[in-house]
Amino acid sequence: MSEEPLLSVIVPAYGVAPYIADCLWSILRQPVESMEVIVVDDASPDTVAAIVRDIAREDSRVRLISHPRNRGLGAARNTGLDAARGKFIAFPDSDDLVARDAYPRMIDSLERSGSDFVTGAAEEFGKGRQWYWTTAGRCFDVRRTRTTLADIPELIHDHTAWNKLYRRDFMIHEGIRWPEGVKCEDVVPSVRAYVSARSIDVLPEPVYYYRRRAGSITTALGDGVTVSDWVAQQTEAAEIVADETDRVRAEFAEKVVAHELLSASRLAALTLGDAVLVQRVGELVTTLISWLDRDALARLEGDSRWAIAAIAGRSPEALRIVRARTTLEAVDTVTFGLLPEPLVSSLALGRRSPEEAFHAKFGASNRFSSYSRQVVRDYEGNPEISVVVPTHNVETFVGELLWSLRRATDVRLEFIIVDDNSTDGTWDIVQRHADEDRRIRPLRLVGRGGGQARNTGVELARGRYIAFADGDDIVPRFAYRAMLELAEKTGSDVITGSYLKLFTTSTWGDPRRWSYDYELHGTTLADHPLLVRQRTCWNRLFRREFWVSSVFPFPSVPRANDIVPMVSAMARATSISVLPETAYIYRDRPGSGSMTARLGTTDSTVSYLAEEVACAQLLRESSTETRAQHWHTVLSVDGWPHLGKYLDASTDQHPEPELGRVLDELARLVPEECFHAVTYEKQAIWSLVFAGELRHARVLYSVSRNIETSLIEVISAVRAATETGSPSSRSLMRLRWKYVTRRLVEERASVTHEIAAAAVSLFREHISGCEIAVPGAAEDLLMTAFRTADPHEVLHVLDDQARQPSARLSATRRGLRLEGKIRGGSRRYLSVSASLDGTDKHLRIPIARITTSADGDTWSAMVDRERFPRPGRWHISLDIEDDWGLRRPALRIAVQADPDRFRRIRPVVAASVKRESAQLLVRKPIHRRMLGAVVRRLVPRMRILTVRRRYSGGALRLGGS
Amino acid sequence: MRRIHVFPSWRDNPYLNMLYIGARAEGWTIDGSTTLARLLDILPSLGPSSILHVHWTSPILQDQASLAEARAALDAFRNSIAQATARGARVLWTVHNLLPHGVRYLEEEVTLRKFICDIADVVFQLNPSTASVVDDLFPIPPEKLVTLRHASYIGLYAQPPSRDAAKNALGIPHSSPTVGFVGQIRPYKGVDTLLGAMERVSKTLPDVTLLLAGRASENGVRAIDRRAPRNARIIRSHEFVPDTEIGTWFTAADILVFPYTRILNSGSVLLSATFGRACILPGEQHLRSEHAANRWVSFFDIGETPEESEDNLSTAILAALKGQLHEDDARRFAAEYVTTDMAMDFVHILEDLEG
Repeated sequence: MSEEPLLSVIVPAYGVAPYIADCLWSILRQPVESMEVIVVDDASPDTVAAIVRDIAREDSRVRLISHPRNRGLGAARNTGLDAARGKFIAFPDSDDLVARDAYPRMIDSLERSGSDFVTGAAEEFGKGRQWYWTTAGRCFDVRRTRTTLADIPELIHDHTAWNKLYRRDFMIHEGIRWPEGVKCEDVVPSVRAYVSARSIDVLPEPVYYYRRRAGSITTALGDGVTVSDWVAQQTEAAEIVADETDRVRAEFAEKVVAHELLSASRLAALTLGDAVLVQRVGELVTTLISWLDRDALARLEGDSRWAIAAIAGRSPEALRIVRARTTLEAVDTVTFGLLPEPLVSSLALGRRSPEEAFHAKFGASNRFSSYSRQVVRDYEGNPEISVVVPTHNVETFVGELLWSLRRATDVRLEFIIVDDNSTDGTWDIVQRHADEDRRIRPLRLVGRGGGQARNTGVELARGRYIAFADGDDIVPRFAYRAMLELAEKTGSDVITGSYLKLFTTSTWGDPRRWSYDYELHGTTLADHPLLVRQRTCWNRLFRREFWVSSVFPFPSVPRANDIVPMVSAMARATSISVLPETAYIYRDRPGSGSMTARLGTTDSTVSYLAEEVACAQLLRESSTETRAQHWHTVLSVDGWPHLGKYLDASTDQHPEPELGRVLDELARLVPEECFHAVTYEKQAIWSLVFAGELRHARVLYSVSRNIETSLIEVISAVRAATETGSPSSRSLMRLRWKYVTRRLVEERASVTHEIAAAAVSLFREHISGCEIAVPGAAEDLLMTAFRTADPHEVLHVLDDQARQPSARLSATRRGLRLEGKIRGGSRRYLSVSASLDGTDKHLRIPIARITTSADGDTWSAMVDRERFPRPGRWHISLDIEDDWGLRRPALRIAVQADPDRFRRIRPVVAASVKRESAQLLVRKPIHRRMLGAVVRRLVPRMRILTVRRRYSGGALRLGGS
Repeated sequence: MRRIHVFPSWRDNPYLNMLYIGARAEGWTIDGSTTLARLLDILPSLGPSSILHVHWTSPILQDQASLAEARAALDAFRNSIAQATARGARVLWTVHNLLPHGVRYLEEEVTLRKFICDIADVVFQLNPSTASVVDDLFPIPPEKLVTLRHASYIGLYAQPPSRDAAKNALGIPHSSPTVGFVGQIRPYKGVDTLLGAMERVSKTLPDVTLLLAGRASENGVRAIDRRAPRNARIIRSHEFVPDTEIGTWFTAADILVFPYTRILNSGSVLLSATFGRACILPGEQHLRSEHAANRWVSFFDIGETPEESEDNLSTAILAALKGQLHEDDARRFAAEYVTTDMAMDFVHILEDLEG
C-alpha cells in the first residue's frame, strides 16, 4: 500500500488466539475507503501470529509487526502508532469487536466537524449485554459535534482508548502516547486528549463491543500490581485535570472515587497493600475529595463515604475494619488511626470527633447496650416526647404495640392514642392499658381518617418532641431514648432513624437505601438527598416547635397521607440528624387487612399520585440531586408498585378523567433528565400511562414480569411507546432489542409473516441504533434482514435449517478432509473453527482455512491435528461471511466411511461415534495413549482392592476377576 | 459488631424470625447456615462478640451417609466449636427433643448432645418439663438451663375468616363437625392414628369432615389414601400451605388434632391457640402438666396397640365435639405471650450473656 491510508487501525495482540480472528473480521468489514490494520504481536505465546499471517495472506490491508519480547499493551500501541500512516487512528483491543460501520460513521463525523477526535458509546458482552460503564452516562444519550470537556464534563468518565478515533496529527501535536510497562494505560492518554482537544464529537450508538472475560486486564483489578499502577495513573491524570474547571475536577473525582476506588477487589488489594501504597492512594483520594462538589458528594452512600475517609486517612487499620464490616469478618480489637477532621467534615460524616464518629459507626460496642436501664421516673410535669398513635380496628396488634411503648421507661413519654372509630376490641384494649399506665392518654374520634387522627394527637401533645407510631407496629424499647439523646446533642429539627420490616418468616432492613447506615449530625436534605426517599412518619422525632411552624399537617386522603408532611419536614428542616440504630419495627400485615390490599383502585392511585404531585411542587426549590432522588422514588420505587397494582386491577383502555388529570400534572412536572434516568422498561410504561395508552402499558408491564404475552401485541406496544416520544433513544433501542428482537429469536418457530412484517415496520426507521455486532448472533442477522424491509428475509433468517451447513468427513492420504456444498447466495467461507466441550463456547480456535472449488459450488478444508491444543471433544462450526454478516453455525458432519478406518489411517483424529454430529473427538498422541493403556490395565485392579477394603470393614480380602 | 449465627437457619419457619426481632432491633447482626459444611466454614469467623445459636442438631449427624462420616462430622463439629469458644464465642442451644425423629446414629447423637450441653453457655427449653424428660440421656446443667416459652403467632399471619366463611371456602357444610390437622405430614406425626380414629368417629357422626393440610411425601400421600376413613368427608391439600391461607384451614376446623408422639414442643398448638381453636394432644405426662390449666386442650391416651390409640383418640374427638370447646380461652392463652414478649426475653438472655 503506497498511498497514505485514510485510517490506521492498531491492534495490539497478546494471548488472544481464540478472539483475534473475530476482531480482525469486525475491522476488515468496515467500508472505509482505504485502511491499514497494524497488528502488533507483543511476543504472544500462543498462535496469534500464525492466525494473523493467515489472514494477512488473504487481505493485504493487514500488516503484522512482532515484538521480540513482551513489552505490554502501551508499548504495543506505541509501536503501531509509530508505524501508522493514516489520517485517522483507532486502537481497538484484539479480543473485542468493532461495531458495523462504526469507522465510516466516526470518520464522517470528524470530516464534517473538524474535531480532534470522536468517541462513541460501547457495549459489553460475554457476561450479559449492557452499556460499558464509562459510556453509560447520559452525556452519550445524544449525538454531539464540536463539543468540549468544559461543555460536557461528564465525558471525563470515558477513559478508554478503543471507542475513539483520533486525528493522527492531533496525537502527534499533543504528544499523546501510551505509557509503557504499566497497566491501566488508557487513563492518562484519554484524559490528556480530552483536556487538549479543541473540540470533540460524541456518537450515541454503539461503536464498539467490549468482551467481558476472566483474565483480561480490566477484570484483574484486584491484582496488587494492577492496583499500584492504577494509583500511579490516576495520580498523573489528576495532575492533568487539576487546572480544569471545578465541574471537570468534580466529575473526575467522582469517577475515580465512587466508580473505581470502591470496587471490592480494589479495596481488597489496597487493604493488603504496603504502607507506601496506602500513603500514595491516601494522598490521591484526599485531593479528589476536595474536588467533589455537593451533588457528587450527595450521590455517595454512607458506607462509601466512610470507606473513602478510611482510605484518605491513610489508616490501614480503619480500612481493614471497613472491609471487615462488609464481609462479616470478626473484628474485635480495634485500634484506630485517627481520621483527619477536615476529611470528616468535607465528607459530611457528622460533627463529632473523627475517632468518636468512626467508633460509633464501626466499633465493636453498640450504642444501645450502653444505655442504663432505669426504673420508671417520676412523670410529673411535661413529657419529653409525645407519641401520637392513631388506631383503627387493630385489636390483634395494638396490645403488642402498647406493651412495646410501655417498655420504654428511661425517658419521659406520653402516648396519645387517637382511636378512629374502631369497631372491634381495639378501644377496650387501649383503655385497659390506660388504666395500668398513666402515660397513656386515650381519645376517640368518630370516622375522620388516619390523617386527622394524627393531627388531633399533635394538637394535644405536650412534649418538647413529637413522634408517631401506628397501632399495628412495634417500637424498640430504647428507640425514643436514643432519638432524644441525639436530638438534645444536635439541636436538630428532625431525627430520623433506621427501621425494620417484620414479615411472617423474615425481617427486612436496608438502612443504606435511605442513607441511614451511619450517624449524621445536623445535616440537611441538600447534603444528603437520599433522605428524601424515605417518607414514613413513624421512625422519626420532631421538635414540636418546628413541627407547628413548618410542617404540613396530615391530609385526609385514602393513601400515602404521610408523604407530604414528611417531605415538607425534611425540605424545611435546617438540621436533620440520622440515627443508624433501629427506631421502629414496621409490621407487614399479610392478607386483606393491610393497606396494600387497597392499592390498585382508581381512588387510591389518584390519591397517591396527587400526593406525589404535591411533593414535587414542595421540592421545586430544592437541589437538582434532591429532586432527582424524589423522582426516582416516584418512578421506580414507591410509585412503581402503585402503578403496577393499578394496571393489574383495572381493565380501562384509557384513564378515568380524574386519574388522567393527575397523570398529566405529573408528566408536566417530571424533568426529562430524571425521567431518562429510570430503566428503559419503566420509561416505556410510564410514557404509555402518561399518554393514556393503558392497554399498551399493560402489555409491557406483563412482559416486564415475564408474563406470557403475544408478540404482535408487544410489537404494537413498543411502537406506541416509541411514538410517545418520551423515552430516551437509548431506552427505546434497548426496549426493541430486549422485547422484540430477542423474542423473535426465541420464538422463531412460531413467527408468522404478520409478526415479521410488524417487526420490519418497527425497526425500519431505527436500524442503525439497533445494530448488534456479536458475530453469529441471530440478532445481527435479523438487523440485516430488517434493513431489507422484507418480512420474508426475516423469516428466512429465523429458519434454522436454512442456516445450518453440513459437510462430509473423509480420509485422504494427506489426512482428514471436510467437504461441503455451498447453498445459494454470495457466501464467502472463511474457516472452520472449534471450541472444546465444557469450556466457554466463545473460546474458539480456527482449525482450518477453507478453499472453494473453481465453480464455487463446494468448499473443502484439511483438518490438522496440530491445530487442536488439547485432546477432547471439540464442537465444530463453520465461519461464514455473506450478506448476513459473519456467522458461525454448527457444522453437521457426516462420516463418509467406517470410523475405524480413520483410526487406522490417522489415529489422532477420529469422527465422533454419532453420525451427523457437530463434534470431533481429538485423541491423545500415540505415545500417551500407549502409556494410558498400561495404566488402565492396572487401575481397575487397584480400584477393586480399594472398594473391597472400604466395604469389608477394614479387612482386606483378595479376590480374582 | 454483635453477631448471632444460627444453625440451621431454615427460612420457612417464623419462629426464628420472631425470636430475633428484638435482638435485631437492638443492633445484633443475624446470619445463619443450613448445612454442616457451611457452618464449619463460618465458625472460624466467630469471636468474642459472636454467639452461635444451635437451633436444631439434626443436620449435623442425620444427614451423614455412613457411621464413619457421622463420626467424622461429630469430630469436625466438636473441634470447630471448641476453637470458636476458645476465641470467646458463646454458644446457645435450643433443646427441642430427646433425639431426632428416626435417629440414625444413636451413640453419636447422645455424644453430640452431651458435648453441646457441656460447651453451651445457655441451653433453652421451650417448656419447663423438657430437662426432666432428657435427663437420663443427657443431663442439662441446671445453671445453664433457661426456659423460653414459644410465643403465639398473633400478628404474624393474616386475619383468618370466620368459621362459616372458612368452611365455605373449603367446601364444607356449616353443620359438619370438622376435625383438622395442619402441618407437615411425617411418619412421627401420628396421622395414621388420626385416620383410624376418624374411621371410628364417622360411624357415630356420619357428616363429619376431616381436614388435612400439609406437605407430604409421595409415600405419605399413598399411605393416607390407603387409610382414609370411608365414611367421612375428607378435604386435603398436600401442597405447601401459603401463610395467607393457614388461618382458613384452622378456623374451618372445630377442633384440631396433633397426635404427635415423642414430641416435646409443638408450634401447631400455638397456632391453634392463635386462631382460637381447641386441640387434642397425646396424653404424655409432660404435655398434660404443661397444659393442665388450658381447658381448650384435651388429651387421648396412647394405647398398647395402634387400635387402642385410635379408639382412645376417637373417644376424645367425640367428647370434644360434643362438649365445650373453650375457644375464647385459647385466644386469651395466645394473647398472653406474643412475639415481642419472647423477643424481649431473648434479648434479656443475651444481655445476661454479655454480662
